[in-house]
Amino acid sequence: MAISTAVKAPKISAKDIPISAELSKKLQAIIGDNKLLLGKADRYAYSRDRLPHGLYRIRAGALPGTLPSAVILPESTEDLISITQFCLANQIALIPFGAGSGVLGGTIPLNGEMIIDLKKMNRILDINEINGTVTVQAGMNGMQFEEALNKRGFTAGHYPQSIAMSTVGGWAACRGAGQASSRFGKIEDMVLGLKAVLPNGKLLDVRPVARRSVGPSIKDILVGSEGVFGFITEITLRIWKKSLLSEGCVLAFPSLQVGFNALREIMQSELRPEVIRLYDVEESHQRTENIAEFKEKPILCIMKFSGLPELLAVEKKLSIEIAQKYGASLASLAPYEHWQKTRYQSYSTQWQTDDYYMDTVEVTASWSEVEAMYKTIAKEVKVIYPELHFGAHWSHIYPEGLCQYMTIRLPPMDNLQAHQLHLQLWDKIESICLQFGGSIAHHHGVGLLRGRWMKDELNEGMHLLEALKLSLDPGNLFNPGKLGLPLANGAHGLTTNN
Amino acid sequence: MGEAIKSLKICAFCPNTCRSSYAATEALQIESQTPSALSFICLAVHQGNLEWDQETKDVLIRRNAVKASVGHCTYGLNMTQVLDAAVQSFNSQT
Repeated sequence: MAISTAVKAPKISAKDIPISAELSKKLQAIIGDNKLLLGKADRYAYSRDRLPHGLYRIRAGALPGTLPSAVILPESTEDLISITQFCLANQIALIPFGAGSGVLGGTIPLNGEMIIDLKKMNRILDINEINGTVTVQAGMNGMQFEEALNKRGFTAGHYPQSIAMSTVGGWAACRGAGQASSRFGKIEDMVLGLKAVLPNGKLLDVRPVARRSVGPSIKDILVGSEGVFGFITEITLRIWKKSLLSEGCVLAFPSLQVGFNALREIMQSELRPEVIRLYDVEESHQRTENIAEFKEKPILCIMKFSGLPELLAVEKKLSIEIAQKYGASLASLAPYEHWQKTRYQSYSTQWQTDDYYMDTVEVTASWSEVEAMYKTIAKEVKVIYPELHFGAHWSHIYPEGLCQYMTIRLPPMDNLQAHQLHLQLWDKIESICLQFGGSIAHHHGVGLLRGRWMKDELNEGMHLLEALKLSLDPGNLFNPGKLGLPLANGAHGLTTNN
Repeated sequence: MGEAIKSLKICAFCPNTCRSSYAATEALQIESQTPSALSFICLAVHQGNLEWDQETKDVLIRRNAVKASVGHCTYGLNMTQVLDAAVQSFNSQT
C-alpha cells in the first residue's frame, strides 16, 4: 500500500472539473437562489481541510486533491434531501463540510466532488430540560453551541481544542473527543439520536432515547462515518447542569511509569476528574521550566475537578492522595493556568508558516501496554530521522486505557524528502500501535490518510463496512475514498491505495 | 508585501480560531468568506495558482467575517488591513 507523494501533479488548472452549465442551472432551480457557489476562488477555498500532509502539498504548490466542481449551501434537511436526489439521478459525488478543521483529509475532494457546506444549518432546535437533551443542527459552530447552552445553565461537556473552529456535526462525523472526556465521555457517549440523509436520498431518523435493545446501534453507523454512509443533519446530545465551581491542581511525578499507575488507579477507583493530563519529559519540560518541583520529578500532570462542592472536594482529595502514594508532589498552578488560557488554541499554525513539517497522531493504548508502546514509538521514530521533534501526552484517560497524543515535527527541508519521511513516521507509529494491541485512531478519525491501516485495525470488520457501503451507496457518491473505502474512479492527488 | 505575505500565511494555515466571533447568521458562515479562506485565496493569487480576475476580486470583497474577526485573532492580526494590502498590491501589478 502506498500514498502518492508527487507534489507537482495536480495543478489546479489541469484538474479543474466545474459542474456543467446545464447541471448548475437545474440544481439552481431545485435549491433556489444564493445556495450555489461556482466561482474558482470560492471552490479553491474548499479544496483543503487541515490535513497537515495536504498543507505540505499546498506549500509546495500543489493541491491535496482537486477543486470541488461546485459548493452547495443547504439551509435545511429538506434542501439536502433534494440535493441528494438530484445528485443521485445525475451520479454526482458529494462531500459534507463543516468547518474544515479535520486533520485527516476527510473533506478533501479527489475527483471534483461537490462540497455540501452545512454551516447554514446552525441552530439549536430544542433544549429539553426535563430529559436533559439538546437537539442541534449539524452545522452549528461548537463554541457558539456551548455558549448558548451555558446561557441556559447547561453544558454538553464536549470541549475539544477545536471547539471554536469546528461544528457539532463535525464532532459526530469524526467520532471526536473533548478535553473533559475522562468525565463526560467521547461524542459517541453523548449522542442519543440523530437525523441523516442517506445516499438513496431518504431520511434516517434515530429517535433520541436513553437506551434501546433493538439490535446493533444504528446511530453508531453514522457517528464516525465521516459522511460515507450518510450526512448527519441534526443531532440530539445529552446535556448536564453546568458546574459553577471548578478547581485545578498540578502534580510532579518522578517517572512516567508511576504517573501511569496513579492515573489508572484514579480512574479505576471511580473518581471522575473533569480533566487529567500527563506529559512525557519533552512536553513536561516545555511547560515547567524554572518550576522547582519539576527539577527532581520531571513528569507534569494537570488535573481539573468540577461539580457539586462536596463531590469536587472529595474527588480532588482522593485523587491527590492516590497520586502522592505514587510519589507525586503538588506543584505550582502555573502550568494549569497556562493550559486553561491556551486550551482552545491551535499549535500547528506557526510551524506550518515557518516551513516545518508538523503533525499530530493520536492512538489508543491499554494500560498494560502503554509504557512499552510509548518507549518503542519514541525510539523507532528517531531511527527514521534522529533530529525529529517527538513529544507525547495522555489526556483522555479511561478505566481500561488511554489516548496517547503525539507531536512529530521535521525541520525545514526538501519538500519531497519531508513528505516521504512524514509518511514513514505515520506508518511506523500506526504499525507499532497495532503491534501493541492499540487502536490506530482515538478521536481525529480516518479521513484519507488513515485509510490504509483500516484493514489491519478492523480485520473482518472492514468487510462489514465495505458491504454496508456497497449496499447503501452503490454508485460510491457519498464522500468516496474516505474511511478506507474505495476511491472514485479517476481520483487523484493525495490518494491512498485502498 | 513581504510582511503581508507572512500574515497571510499565518492566517491561511490557521484553522480560523476566530471562527466563533462571526455571528451565527447565515451569510457569514460560508467557508470561502472566512479570514483563513480569503488569505488562502490571496496566497494562491500571489503564487500564480489563481487568476486576479473579477471573480476572484468579488470573493475578496466579501469581508463580513473578516471584520468580525478583528480583535479575536490568536496572533493579533488585523486581517482587514492585511487583505487590503494584498488587494492593493495585486491591483498595482495589473
